[in-house]
Amino acid sequence: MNRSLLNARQTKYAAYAALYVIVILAIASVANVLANRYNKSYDSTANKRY
Amino acid sequence: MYTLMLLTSVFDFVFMFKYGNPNWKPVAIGYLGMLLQAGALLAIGTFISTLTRNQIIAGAATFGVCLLLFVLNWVSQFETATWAQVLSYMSVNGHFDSFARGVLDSKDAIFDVTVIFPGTIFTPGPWNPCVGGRK
Repeated sequence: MNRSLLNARQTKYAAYAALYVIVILAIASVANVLANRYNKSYDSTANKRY
Repeated sequence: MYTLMLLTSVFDFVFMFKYGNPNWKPVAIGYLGMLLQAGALLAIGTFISTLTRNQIIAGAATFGVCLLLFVLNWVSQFETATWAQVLSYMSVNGHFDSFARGVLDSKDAIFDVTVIFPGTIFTPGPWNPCVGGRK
C-alpha cells in the first residue's frame, strides 16, 4: 500500500472517527445485551396485571 | 417541540382527572415511553440530517430508517433464529408495548437511551464535547 496514504492526516482522522464510532456502538450493544439479560420490571397498574 | 405537541394531549387528562379517579402512574409511564421513543427517532433524524445538506434527502432518509425500525419486529413472526431475534429487538415498536401497558421495563428504557446516545453524540453541535459545532 502507498506509504504516503498511510501517513496522510486524512487517513489518521478517518481511523480516529472509525474507532470512535466502533467504541460507541460497542458500548451501546453491550448495554443492550446486559439490559436484556438482567431486565427489571415495574408494574404500575393498580392490581399488578402484568 | 415534540414535548409541546405532546402537551396538547394533557387537556384530555385534565378532564379525566377532574371527573374520574384514574391511576396516574400508567399515564406517566406512557408519557415517558412516548418521550423516550420520540427522542430515539429524533436523535436518528438529527444525525441523518448532518450527513446531507439537502433537507428533502434528510427527511426522506429519516422516514425510511424510522419506518424500517418500526417494522423490524415483523421478522420475528416467521423466523426464530438469533439474527431474527436481534433484528426484532432493534425495533422501536416492540419497546413501546410495555410503556403503553404502564409497565416500566429497564431493557426498553435502556434501549431508547442507547439509541438517543449515539444519535446525539455523532451529531455535531454545542451539546457535543467530542464533535463540536461550527462556532
